Order: sequence, then structure tokens, then C-alpha cells
Amino acid sequence: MDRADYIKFVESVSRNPVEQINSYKRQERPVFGYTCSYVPEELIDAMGIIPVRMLGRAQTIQSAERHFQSYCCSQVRSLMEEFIDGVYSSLDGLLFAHTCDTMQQFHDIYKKNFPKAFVKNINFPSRLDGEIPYNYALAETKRFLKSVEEFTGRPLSSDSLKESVTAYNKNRTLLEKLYGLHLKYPVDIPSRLLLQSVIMSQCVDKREANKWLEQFLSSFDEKAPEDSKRKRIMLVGSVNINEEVYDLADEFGAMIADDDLCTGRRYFSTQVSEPTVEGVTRRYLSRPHCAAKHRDVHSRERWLLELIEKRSIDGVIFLYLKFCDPHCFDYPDLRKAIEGKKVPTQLIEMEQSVAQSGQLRTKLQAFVEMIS
Amino acid sequence: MEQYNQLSEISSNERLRKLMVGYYMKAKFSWLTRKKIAWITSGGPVEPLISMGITPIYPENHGAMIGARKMGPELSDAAEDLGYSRDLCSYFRCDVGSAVLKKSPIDIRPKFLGGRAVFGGGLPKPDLLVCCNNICGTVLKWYEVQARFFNVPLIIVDTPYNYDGETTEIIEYVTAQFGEMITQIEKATGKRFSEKEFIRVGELSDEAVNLWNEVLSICENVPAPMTCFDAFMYLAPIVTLRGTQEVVDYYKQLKVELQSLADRKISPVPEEKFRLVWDNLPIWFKMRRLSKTLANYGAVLVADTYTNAWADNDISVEKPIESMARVYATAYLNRNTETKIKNMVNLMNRFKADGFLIHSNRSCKPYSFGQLDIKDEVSRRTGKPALMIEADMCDPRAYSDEQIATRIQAFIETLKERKATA
Ligand code: SF4
Ligand code: SF4
Repeated sequence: MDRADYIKFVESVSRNPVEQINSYKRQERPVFGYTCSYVPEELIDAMGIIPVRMLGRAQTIQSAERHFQSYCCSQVRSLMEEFIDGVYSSLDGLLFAHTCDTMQQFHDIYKKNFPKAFVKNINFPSRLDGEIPYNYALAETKRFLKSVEEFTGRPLSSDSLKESVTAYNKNRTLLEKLYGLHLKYPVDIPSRLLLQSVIMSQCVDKREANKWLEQFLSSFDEKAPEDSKRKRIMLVGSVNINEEVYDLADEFGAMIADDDLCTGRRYFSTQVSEPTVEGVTRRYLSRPHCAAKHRDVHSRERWLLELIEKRSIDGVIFLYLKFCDPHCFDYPDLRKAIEGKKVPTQLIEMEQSVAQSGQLRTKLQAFVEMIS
Repeated sequence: MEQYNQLSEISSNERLRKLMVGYYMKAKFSWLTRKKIAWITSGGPVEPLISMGITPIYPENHGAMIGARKMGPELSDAAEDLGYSRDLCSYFRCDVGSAVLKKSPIDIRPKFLGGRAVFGGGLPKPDLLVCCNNICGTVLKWYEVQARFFNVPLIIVDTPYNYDGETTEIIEYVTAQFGEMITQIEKATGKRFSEKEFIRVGELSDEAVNLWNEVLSICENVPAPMTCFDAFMYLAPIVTLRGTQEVVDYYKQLKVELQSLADRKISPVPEEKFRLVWDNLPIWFKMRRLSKTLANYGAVLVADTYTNAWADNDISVEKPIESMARVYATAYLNRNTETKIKNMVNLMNRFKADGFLIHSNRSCKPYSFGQLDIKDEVSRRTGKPALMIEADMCDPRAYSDEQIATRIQAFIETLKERKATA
């Protein structure tokens, strides 16, 4: 495998994982879709099921109009469109995790319209602070696990959980390494490869994903110095599949150096320290959290400022999906905190999958100029 | 059929006004009485606060007042200037705008001070914030914002949505949090919790909720002696003051008066032709106009899912904390969509409704997403038609009178045809 093979692979899987799903189905391996990164994937994987991240890619919304009003975020609307169109009909089940109001309602609506589908939800707490939420999260994880065990017909074995946790932790390490190497090789590892590699990892059996990543990364020298010329931009938001932002940053001589996205760092940060159900639960409570969750009133601010400092970030782009409430609530205070550190910010609101007009280009160009 | 003039017939309306003015007055003057103020979400566990002598303040009720006074756009603009998206809940936007501008319908100008606005408009500053997310995830974010703004402690009671109904995991989690919350309140306010006092407040709260349920049920009568537009007004005390004797007394009187109207078959509209059920929050800035439009067609809103959300409570003396956990964990908006469908079908049947109006409320996503499916399903199960109108509870900027009037007219035609062929 050379670098080009990797680039081709991640591009095709991240843009359209359906072929990947179908190939697993041909091998008679069960596949579950999951809608949120709070679904404890290790447990699913350890039960012999391949979890694949669902990201709405429908370009136009028609059928979903009958279920979701126009003021619903495009992640959910476009996913519903794809489900109705049967894009993911080969899935064996769909997993939800509690996050925001919209996702919550999506669960109910999906269940109502696909009554025969295997649908489970892990009712993850909104509070992440202290032992009371932990005790609940653990009890709920066990309840969730039981329902998956009913599907497979056998209990979770501790050996396979160990094996899964190892594969997942390794994947996290590799993605972290990729982010680090990207700072050293901004040309050979274009920014969009961060996004595509994370989405690929979310859609492919972890062992396979790790193999691809390992081979690709081993072709780079870890001791090379970091690039010091390119301005470093960080993205903050919920989910994102838009590659254009990454490409434009590169094109204008900057780079997307890091992010706080559910299709980015939030997915792979924080290892599972103990290969047990308890250990897995702890990891999901302690990872950098989504805006829909609460640790304390300054936790997201602290985390972002830390990351900005560590990565020497020159500018932050809030890349939001329109109608994404949790993030829109955080925006003004986060902006204030970040700009207070003399780091410029820019808000870009968009709809998932909708091709961006020249506006995005103009905005990116102006932003790169501003931070240069 | 006789028609009543609401103001003259219902003497408890004056009592309601006094009750609410007194409540906000006392809250505004809390610095005199050294009472602590806690802001709390509308579905939040207020009983511990009241039992500890802390004044609860409900920003959502304030939001409703702002909407009804048509102050929504101005206050919302102030929030938008800070960077808050216009797509966020308008109660939140109004609350933030009011806190920043110190403008509000609550602008107390005491006579003895020459009628000057001495303290600025708006809610009294909180000493403490209590957020229970059994209505939405929005309030969690909203209260985080306010906790940073006022720099006061935030207590969160996390009540997981009942995806699979009421699970033991949820009840245990919420029960544990109630214990924790009481300690946190004690710490934040220096007050002591007494279980005896708490049970007393819980019983009063229960009694008020039962009375409220009875008040709403009077509309099962044909003709109904009030409409939901009245109920939306009568709702304020059960939201803000449940757990006090005054509220119990108020609803007792209201119940008697409404029952007497019902007995005499007195109706708020000249002729009750169509009985309708309403879903979601009121459109606060269009209450009068909508009620007139509907009344002209002889259409009466006889029940709604919103005011009924406070008609369910059961705090038991044996296990006060656990039963309170159950009550708050299973609040109406925290129940899954299938349960909401059943509830609506039940309301339609109980109140002998001919159809239903669905307010697709841009502000309230958890209440509104699912409505398209609810609409189809409730129609299917009851055989009754529905009309969905898109609006917002406080923000009139996306609202068109003409468009809504045309749609209502068309809907009334459908109802007429149905009646004719029935
Ligand atoms: S977090 Fe935002 S983008 Fe994700 S489902 Fe919720 S509203 Fe949509
Ligand atoms: S989102 Fe809905 S339930 Fe939540 S505060 Fe706003 S109006 Fe109330």
C-alpha cells in the first residue's frame, strides 16, 4: 500500500460507507448504524457487531419533510431522508444515545416509522459530573448491553471486550498521531485527511482501520519538525462532513490544525483505561464533551482554551449546522473567552450536505488574511 | 346559549391578578425580607425550595408575560446582538434580553416612591439556579448561560427522557439527585431542610394540582364554560406558586365559579359549534386575535396538552423524595412520543373534540418535532381532522395574520362538511 491507496480508501469510505457496509454483509457480519458518538462502540464491537456512524448525506430533503419541520438541523433531516430512501436498509439495527432534543425526537420518530427495525437507545446522562451520574450511566450501560445481548443471543465475554478495547484504544492513538504528523507534513497530509480518517475509523472495523492508518503513518518521520509557516485554524462544532472548509484553509496557505468536532477530536480523545464495562462507561463520561452535556459551566471553555494553547492555534472557526441548539447556546460565551485570549474567531453556519456557494470561499479567505 | 363576559362573571380573575402581582412584588422586595431567590425551570422540583422559605422565580412564566406584552422582538434583538441565534428558544432570548436591558413587563413602580421605577425592570437577581431538564435540553444550556452571567451556583436535576418508559435506572438516578440537591440548596442558601415541612408543602402542591385538573376537566361540559385561552392565563399560579395555600384557595374559588357557568350552560362564545384540542404552547402575542377568530366560527379550544402538563402529580407521604423523583422524572414533555399520542387521543375523546390544532412552535423543538407524526396518528386513531400552524410562542417576526386566518377558515370548512355529512 502506498500513500495514494490510503487517500483513495479514506475518501471513498468517508464519502459513502454503504459499499463498506455491504461488503460486511456479504461476509455475513452484522452491522449496526449509530447516530451519536456517545454510543459505547467497544461493547457493540465486542459482541461481534460492526458499528457504523450515521451521518446524513442526502442532498435534498423531500420525504423527510413529512416528519421534520424546516427548523430542524440538517444532520437529522438528511439522515431521515436517507433512511426513508432505503440507503441504509442493509443495516441490522440502529443505535441512538441521548444527546440533544432533536436527536431525542429523532429516535421516537424513527422507531415509529420503522416499527420492524431493531432500535435501541442508550439513555446516557446529561450530567457528567461526579459519582451520581456515573452510577446511573453504568446502570444504563448495563441495561443497554442486555438489549444487545438479546439480539446476539449470547452474553458479552470479557476476553472479547479486552480485545475490542485494545483495538479501539489503538485507533485513538493512531488518530492522535495523524493529527500530530499533519502539523509536520501539511502538504503530504492535507487537512481534509483528518476529517476523512476519523469518519473512516467510525465506519470500518477497527482492526482494518488501524491497519490502514498504521501503514500510512509509518511512511512519515515522526521526528520531523512542525511546519511553522502555515497559520493554524481550529474548528469547533457538532458534526461535520464538509471537506471544502479543510481544502480552502489549505488553499489559502493555512491549515486546519485541530478541532473540537464529533467527527474529529471529540471522537478519539480519551482512552479506556480498564477493559471492563465500568472502564468503558468512565471513558464516555470523561472524554471531551459535546455541547449537549454538562460537566460544569466552564468545562468546554477550559478545554478549548487548553487545546488552543497546546496547538498554538491562530484562529477558531465555529462551524455550526443551522438549528443546532446546543452549540448555538455556547457560542457567545466561548467566542468571548477565546477572543479574550487574542485569538480571532469566525462563525460559519451551514446545512449538512448542501454545496456551499462562493460565500464560504470568501469567508475563509478573509479569515485567513485576518489571522496572517 | 348564553355568553359570558369573562371579566364580570369570574371574580377570581381579580384574585389571579392580585396573586401574581403580589408574588412578583414580594420577589422584587426580597432584599427587604432577606429571602433568597432561586430561579427554576417550569417543570422543576419547587417543593423543597418553598419548604425552605426560598422564593422560586420562573423565567419561563416571565417569558410568557413578555410575549403577551409583545416585548418579544425588542428583548430578543438584545440577545441576538450578543450572538445568540434567532433559532434558539424565544423564552431564553427574552430572558437574556431582559437581564441585559433590565426591561420587562415586571417594572414595579411603588406609589409611595412617587411611581418611579426604582429597581429597574425584570426579574430579581437569583441567588441560586435550579434546572430540571424534564421539559427540554434547552433549559440546561439556558441555565448554564445564566449561571455564568450572574455567577451563582447552578443545581441540575437531570431527568432522562422516558424513551422506554419509566425505568428503575431513571427513578434511582433522579432520587439520588434529589438528596444531593437538598444538600446543595442548604449550602447555597444557609437554610435547613425539614422533611416535615417538605411533606406539608408537597401535600399542598398535590392538592393544587388535583384542583387544577378538576378546573380543566370542567371543559368536558358541553358547552365548555371557558376556552384554553382562559386556561393559559389561569395556569400561572400552578406553575409559579404550587405548594402554597393561596394557590389552593384560588383554584377552589375558580372551580366553583366555572362549575356554576357550566351548570347554567353559559359559554364564552355565542354558539359552540366546534370543539377543538390544542397542542403545544400558546402563541402569547396572538391570544386575543386567535381567540376572536375562532370564536367567530363558534370554535372553542376545550383542552390542550400544555396546561394539562401540570395536572399530574402525586407526592406520597410515605416516600416523599422517591415519589417526588417519580413525578418529576415522568413529566409530560419527558414522556416519549407514543405516550404523547395516547394522551392526545385521550384528550380528544374525553373532551368530545371535533378536531385539533397543532402549534408547530419554532422555539420548542422537543415539543414540536414529532408533531407531524402525532398529527397523522391521532387523526387516524380518532378519525378527526387536524390543522398545523407554524409560529413561535413569543416571536411574532415570522407570523402572518392573513396566512393563519386563511388556513383556519379552510379548516373550519372541513369541520363543517364533516358535521354536515355525519
Ligand atoms: S447536536 Fe446539533 S447537529 Fe447534532 S443532532 Fe443535535 S441539533 Fe443536530
Ligand atoms: S425549548 Fe420548549 S420546553 Fe424548553 S424552555 Fe423553550 S419553550 Fe420551554
